[in-house]
Amino acid sequence: MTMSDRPLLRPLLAAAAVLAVLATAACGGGSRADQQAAGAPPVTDRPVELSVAWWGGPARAENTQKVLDLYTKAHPNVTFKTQWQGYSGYYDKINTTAAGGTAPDIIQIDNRVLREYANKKLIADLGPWIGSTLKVDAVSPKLMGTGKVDDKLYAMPAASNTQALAIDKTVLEPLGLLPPETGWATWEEFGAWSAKVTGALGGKVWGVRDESANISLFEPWLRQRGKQLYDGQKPGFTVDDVTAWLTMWAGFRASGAASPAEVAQPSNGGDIAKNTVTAKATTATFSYDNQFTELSKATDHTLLLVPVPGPAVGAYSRPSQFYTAYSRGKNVATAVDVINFFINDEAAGAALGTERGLPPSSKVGDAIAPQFSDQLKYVSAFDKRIVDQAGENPPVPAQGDSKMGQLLVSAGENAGFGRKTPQEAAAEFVSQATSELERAAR
Amino acid sequence: MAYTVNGPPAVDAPDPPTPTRRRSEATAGYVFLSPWLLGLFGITVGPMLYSLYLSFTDYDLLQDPEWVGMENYVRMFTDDPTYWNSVQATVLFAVTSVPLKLAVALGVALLLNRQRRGVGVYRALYYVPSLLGGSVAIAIVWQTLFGGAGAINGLLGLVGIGGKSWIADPSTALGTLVLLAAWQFGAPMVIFLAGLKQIPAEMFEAAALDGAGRFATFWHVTLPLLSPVLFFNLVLETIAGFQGFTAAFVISGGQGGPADSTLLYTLYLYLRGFGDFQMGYASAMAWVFLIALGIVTALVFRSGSLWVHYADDGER
Repeated sequence: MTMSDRPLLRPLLAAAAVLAVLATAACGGGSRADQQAAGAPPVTDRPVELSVAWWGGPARAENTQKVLDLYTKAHPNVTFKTQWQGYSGYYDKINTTAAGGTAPDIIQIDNRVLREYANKKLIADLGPWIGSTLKVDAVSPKLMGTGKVDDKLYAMPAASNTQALAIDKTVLEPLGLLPPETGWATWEEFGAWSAKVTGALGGKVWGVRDESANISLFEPWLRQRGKQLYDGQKPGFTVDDVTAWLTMWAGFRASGAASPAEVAQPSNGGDIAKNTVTAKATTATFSYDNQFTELSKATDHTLLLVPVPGPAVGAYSRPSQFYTAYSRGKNVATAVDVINFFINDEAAGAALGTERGLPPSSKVGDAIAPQFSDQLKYVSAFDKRIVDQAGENPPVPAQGDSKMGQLLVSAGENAGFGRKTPQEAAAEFVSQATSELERAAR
Repeated sequence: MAYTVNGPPAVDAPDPPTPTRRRSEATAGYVFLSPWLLGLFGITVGPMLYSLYLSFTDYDLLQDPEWVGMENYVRMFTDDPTYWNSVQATVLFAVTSVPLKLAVALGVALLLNRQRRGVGVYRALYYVPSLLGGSVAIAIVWQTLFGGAGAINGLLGLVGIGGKSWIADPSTALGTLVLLAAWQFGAPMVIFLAGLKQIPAEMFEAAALDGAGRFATFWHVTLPLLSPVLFFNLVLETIAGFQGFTAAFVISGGQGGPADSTLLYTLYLYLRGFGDFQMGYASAMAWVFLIALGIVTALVFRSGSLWVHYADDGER
C-alpha cells in the first residue's frame, strides 16, 4: 500500500465518527450530607452567602432585590447571589442544580412542584423553625395549609392571588365594548363578546388569546363543572371534559373570538414577557391578578382585570408562590430567617407591594395598605371581591403537576393547529396524564 | 509500529531496539497520553457505564436509583407516544438539514475555489456563521427573525405576502431549525475547499480537451474525486444532525413546541431527565440513541463502498 494521504482518511474517519457518537451518553449526580440541625438559630455573625432563585419579570427582580438589600443592611454578614428568569424552563434549571447538589438556598416555587419537591426531600421541612425563626401567626391558617404536604410545612406562602382575565381598556373603551366589571355569566356570552371585539377591530387583533393550552384557565373551568384537576394522584376529569374544553376553543377560533393557535403559541410556555395583551395581539388573556403590576409595566395601554367567565366558584384564593429552603443548602437556618423577613417585615412588604400577590401576613397587609399606589389598591380590591365569592381551595396538586401542564400544552396545540381532533387530543392527554401521574408518585 | 521483531533492520536505523528501551518508550508514551486517558475514563467512559446502569433503574436524581430491569426500554417503545414524536422530529430534521447543509457547503466551496481578487476575504466571511452558529445568541436572533413581527415577515410584506409566526406554527417551526443548521455550513465548506484544491489540474484539462461541459466536468470529474471528502463530511454532519439540541431548546423556549414539532431527541431526553426527574428513563433513551446512531453511522460507512471513489483503488 502506498502512503498516499487518501487511504489514511478511512481510519481517521472511523476514529472521528466513534468519538462523535461517544459524546452522547454521559450524566451524573452528586451528594452532600446534611449536617445542619433542624430548628437551629440563623447564623448572622459570620459571613454567609445565600443564593436566591425565582421566576418573573423585571418588576419582580427589582423589588426582590430591594428586600434582599434591606436584609443585608440589617445583617451585613449575610449577602445574596440572585438568579431569575422567565417561568418556562425555570424548574428544569432548579432540578438540574439540585441533581448536582448545588440548588439555590432559597427557591421560589409554586404548587405545581410542591408535592414533588417535598416528597423528594429537595426542600426542607420548615416545621422546626415555626415560632422561633419563622413567625406564622399573622398568616391565615387556610393559606398556611396550602404550603403543607402530609401536614408538614414545606413551603411558606409568599402571597396569594386568584384567576382573572387581563383586558386592554385603551382598545376596548372606544369600541364601546368594555365588559361589565363582574365579567360574563357564561362562556357562550364571553365568546360572543370576544367575536364582536375581533369584528370591530377588523380581524387583525383578536378578542381573546386562544387559551386552550392553559391549565391555569382549564382548572377554574373544570371547577365550574363540579370537577377538580386532581382526584388524589389521578386526573379528576374525563376525556369528555377535555373534549368539551378543546371543542369550545375550536368554536371560539372558528368564530374569530379567539386568536389562531399560532398567535397564542409563543406564550403557552407561561412567560409573562410574551403576553399577548401587552403585545397588543389580543384584547384579553388569562392572567393571575397579581401579574397586573408586571403587565401594566410592559405596555403603554391601560389594563383592567375581569373575573374568569362563568360561575364565580371556578376561581379560588391560590398561593401564587412559595418561598422554600433547599434542604441541603449552605445554611438552612439563615435561609429560613430570610424567608421570615420576606413574610413578616413591614419594610420588605412595602417593597414587594402586590407584585407577587397580596401579602400573606394580615399585619403586613394592614400596615402597608395606606402606602399602596392606586394600581395596588385596584388589584387588592379586585382580589378581595373575587375571593369573597370563590370556591373552596383544592388540595395541594398531585405529584407530577408540572407534567400535566405540559401535556395540556401538547393537547391544546395539537387540536389548535388541526393536527388532531379535539377528541383525539383529549383521549391522548388523559391517557398520558394518568400514566405520568402514576409514575411520578412512585 | 514501524519496527518488527524479526525483520531485517532498516538500512539507516540507529541501534536496534532492546526490550528495555521499548518498555521505557511505551511508558513514556502512556505518560504523554495520560491527560487524554484520564479524561477518557474519568469524563467519558466512567459516566457512560454509570448511565448504562442507570438505564435499568428508576432514578429521580435525588434519591438512590432503584433497579427496574428492562422497564424503561419497554416503556419507551410501547407506552410513550411523545417519544415517537421526538424520534420523528429528529429523523425529519437530520434527513433535511444534513443534505441541505452539505449542498450549500459544496456550492459555496465551488464558488470560492476560483481564483479571483479578494477570494480570501470571502472565504473568511462565509466561515463566520459557523463560528457563531451554534450559540444561544444566534438562536435568539433566529427566534426574532422568524417570529410574527420578525424581519422575514417584513421582507415578505414588501412583496405582498402575508406573513405568520414561522416558529409558532408546527408545520414550519422545524423548517426554521433546518435553515439555521444549513446556515452553519462553514466547517464542511472549508473541508470541501481543501478537497477541491487536491484535485489535479490535469484532470480538468483532460476533461476540457475531451469537450466536457461544466456540468459534465462537475459530475464526472469533480464529484467522484471529491467523494472521499463528501463522505467524511456526510458522516460527521449526520452525527451532528442527530444530536441537534441548542437551537431547538432556545427557539422553542425549552419545550420542543409547537405541538412537539421541534422536540428533538436530545431535547426530549433532557426534559425527561431534568424536567421530569426521570434520569433512569433518560439514560435508557441515551443508550437507545447511541445504538441507533451507531447503526446509522455504520450504514453510511457501508454505503460508502457504492459511491466513494478513492483515487488509488486500482493499486490494491
